[in-house]
Amino acid sequence: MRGGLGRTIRKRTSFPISVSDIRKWAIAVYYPEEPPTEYLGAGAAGGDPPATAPEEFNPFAWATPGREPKNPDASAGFLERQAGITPPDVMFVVNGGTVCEYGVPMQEGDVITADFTLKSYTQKEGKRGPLLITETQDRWTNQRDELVRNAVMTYIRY
Amino acid sequence: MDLTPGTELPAFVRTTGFANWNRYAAVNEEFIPIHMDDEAGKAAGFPSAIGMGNLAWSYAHIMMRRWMGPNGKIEKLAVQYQLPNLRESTITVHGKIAEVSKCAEGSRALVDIWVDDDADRKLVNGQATILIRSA
Repeated sequence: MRGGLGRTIRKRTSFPISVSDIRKWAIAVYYPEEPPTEYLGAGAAGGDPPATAPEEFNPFAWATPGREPKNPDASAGFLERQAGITPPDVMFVVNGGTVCEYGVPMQEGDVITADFTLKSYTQKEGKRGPLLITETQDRWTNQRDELVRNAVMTYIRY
Repeated sequence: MDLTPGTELPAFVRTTGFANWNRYAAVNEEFIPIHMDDEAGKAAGFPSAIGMGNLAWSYAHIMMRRWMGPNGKIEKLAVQYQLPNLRESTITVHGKIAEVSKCAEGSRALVDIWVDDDADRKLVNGQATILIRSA
């Protein structure tokens, strides 16, 4: 597994972000309240100013160009399977933390490219036995090569 | 806007469960059994299904957006997820200004962020850097 550390193991490019993607995201995360009106407009496609996505918006959900439709991998070895690496012998995964720096905002029409890197593996002993702590880095840029976000995520697997 | 260190930001409160989590799963493509099924949560060692850390992440952003308004920009957020968000618990996102400095664009605030639940458990701990541009 350590052979995959430090190199780009998956590169994704999104479809152009649509105002509908932004609207649905806002409705979901603000539920049960209505989201702010800035997320509910028609966007540039409907004659309004271009919609700006919430900072934490995910433009890669469900479909990206060239990706075959398939059920998402919900297994604890999903990180390595994405990279074509033999996964560790783990059953469960929980989110340990995130450090994210933001650059320019994502707007309607933007096409986002992500470079995904396996950053580190660490083993620890936890209440439920051995834990595999895995850090990943996901660096997003837009079609103008401007930094959108750089996130380091920690996954705890056991 | 009061940028005095020690000032608390207006809290963001949600009672969480499948109604929130399923909506989030639908937009984030996050259909993980421990977020959808109590039995899967129990098999992983929790008393119930648990909420997504990513949704608590969104809640923290909402809390900050409401406070900072259109002149604000979230430059950085770092969090650690310490305990799971259990089903039907009410969680609150808090923020408190830790430090403020002047910069060319206006002011830059370090804001301590944390999430607790109605059983007084701290679920998330972190810090944000927020730029407040001069109006």
